Amino acid sequence: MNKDEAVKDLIEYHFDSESELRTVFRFISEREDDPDEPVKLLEVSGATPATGSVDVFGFRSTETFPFRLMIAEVTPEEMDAIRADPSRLPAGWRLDSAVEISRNRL
Amino acid sequence: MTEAPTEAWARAYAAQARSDWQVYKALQFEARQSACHELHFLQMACEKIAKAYRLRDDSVPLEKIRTEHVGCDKFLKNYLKSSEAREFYRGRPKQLEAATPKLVQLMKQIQALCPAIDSVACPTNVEYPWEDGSGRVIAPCEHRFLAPDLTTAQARTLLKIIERALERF
Repeated sequence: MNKDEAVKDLIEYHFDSESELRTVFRFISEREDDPDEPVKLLEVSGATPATGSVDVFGFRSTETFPFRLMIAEVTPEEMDAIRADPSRLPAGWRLDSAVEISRNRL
Repeated sequence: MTEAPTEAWARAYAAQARSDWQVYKALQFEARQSACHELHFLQMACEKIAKAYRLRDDSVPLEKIRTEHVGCDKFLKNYLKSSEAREFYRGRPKQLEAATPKLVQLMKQIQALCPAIDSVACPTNVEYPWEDGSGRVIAPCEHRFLAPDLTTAQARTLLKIIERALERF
């Protein structure tokens, strides 16, 4: 399974297991082809606690997902704030290089 | 080869979380001890492992993460999306969806045991005495904690998930 397929499978699972999940941003870096480059996801969910910040948690690779995963969840309102002020994103996460994936466009 | 500072801190937080967890497990069978001690070590294990996973975000200054409050509920919500946790609910996404709010609620109750979280709205904690609404001062060791209820099937699932997060860090 290549990186794109693994990410698609993971995001599909996230949509299947969370009806409140609105959309997922996958941040693509210049080194994305490097297997060591982590997959970076920002998920917009109506069911996540609002904290006013983008709290990223990192998970190591596993047998079923052989890539490091950096993931954060924000509420739709927090996403609006990020769109208005992208500096709220972690360093290196740029909206203009992100792919937005919705439930109907997997 | 030297370890990058954030990696070293993340590893150390995870190691301390695992140690807290071992004490929590040992205290579970100590009927003579007050429940506050067992819950205290559970709360500390959760807090530290959440911080360890948070420390993997090396885009944030180390000091910020070390000194900020890292939400255990937020950590759990994200952990449940990792491929590690996915093994718990493989092929059963609807069950995961149904379980997530209950697991997160339980984690919030564990987090709330920390005295620093909300000492005004929720003074009950596992570490320091507090005054209740009638002016009575209560010691944690004399208090009967009703939440979190760790006797339920949902709680057992949460504890397994926490243990996995500790082991697989």
